[in-house]
Amino acid sequence: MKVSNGHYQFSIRANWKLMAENSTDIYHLVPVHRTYFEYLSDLTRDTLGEEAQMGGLNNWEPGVALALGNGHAAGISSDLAGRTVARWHPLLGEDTKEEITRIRERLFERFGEERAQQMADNNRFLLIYPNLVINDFFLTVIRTFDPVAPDNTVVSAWNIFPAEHSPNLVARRLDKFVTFMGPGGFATPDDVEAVESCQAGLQALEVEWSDISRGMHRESITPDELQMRAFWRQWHGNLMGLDKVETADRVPLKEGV
Amino acid sequence: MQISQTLSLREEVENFLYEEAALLDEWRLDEWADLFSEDARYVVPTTNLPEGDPAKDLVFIDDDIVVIRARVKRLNSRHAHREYPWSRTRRFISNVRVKQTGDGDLAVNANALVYRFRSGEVATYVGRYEYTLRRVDGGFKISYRRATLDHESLTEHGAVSIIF
Repeated sequence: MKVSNGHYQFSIRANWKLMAENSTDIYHLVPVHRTYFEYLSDLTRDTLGEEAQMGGLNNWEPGVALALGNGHAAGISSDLAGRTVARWHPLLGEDTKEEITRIRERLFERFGEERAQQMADNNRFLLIYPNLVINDFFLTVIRTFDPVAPDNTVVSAWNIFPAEHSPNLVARRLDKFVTFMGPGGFATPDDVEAVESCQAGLQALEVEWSDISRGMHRESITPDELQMRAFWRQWHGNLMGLDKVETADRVPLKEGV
Repeated sequence: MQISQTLSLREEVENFLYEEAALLDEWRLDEWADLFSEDARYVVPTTNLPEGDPAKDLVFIDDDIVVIRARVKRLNSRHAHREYPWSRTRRFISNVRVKQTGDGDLAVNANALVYRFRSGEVATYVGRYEYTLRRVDGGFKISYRRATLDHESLTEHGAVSIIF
């Protein structure tokens, strides 16, 4: 793997722990990043025709969320808009089809069908407790968030890509990355606004709880909040000086929830 | 004679840049997008790699005309949360230098200072602009617009959510 030259560094007027929530939350994607999904919808309609027009998270499998212990968490869901490793989608351009197909075939040869499909067709988020995130979607980002004050956080982000990719495929990945992610992207500025608004709201001391209970009574899917509960349980355990923290849910599962 | 011709060319370019700045400060973004040619590029490199090449390096913004128009559509909507309600901006463009290039286009350099006010906060964006301007129907079209920030990182800004 290689990391591109050039990285993002920007400050958010909010507590760093809100970035652990934001970086692994799937539920907010469509409402907060509505303008990005509208862009994808317009782009697919204009370049591929109305039958290929993308609508939010239609045809998307929410997969599973996992508490990995020690505050680490991950989620696996289905791909939406193509992956250079290795699921070709028309949005990646006709001229990438051959290279991506070759990468895909090689994965199937090396790892067998089941594992290769996991690798090629799924998106993943990964929170490495406390403040390192590797999200592998239609873009792949390494992100850290460092507190400089209780209400000020420096966020850094890097683009990581396979060293074997052709310059054309690297450019396509950069394209996806830049349009969604970062200070000038169609999504991150709205995360900054949302997180700063949360910080302002949390100053209202009448609010005793931040509710992250979604999915507590079922096997968690990625739009649930298990990943945040795992993070906060570990953080609470660290503050309490506990040696061992159970970060998974222990609530009895309910049928049909 | 040579001097007065050069001056008038620079004045013409300055007028164009001032009009562009006014469109942006007044949030007349559809008109701003119309300033670009169909093959245009709008690039903002990262603060840590001002010389970044969007083909191989990570940059903040690398828009072709499709994305320029999509960016405008986004900023015109009520759902670009960082910019709705709109921030107030005031732009100062100076130190304009103009060169003729071999193919009849103009290579323009300028300094830029943009203040952004919103939610009780002020952020200043300082940097330089590089344009390639093409003469079309007695006016100009922008075929290249590169806005390079001088900041070491985006400390008080949080984003480049406005057009810089």
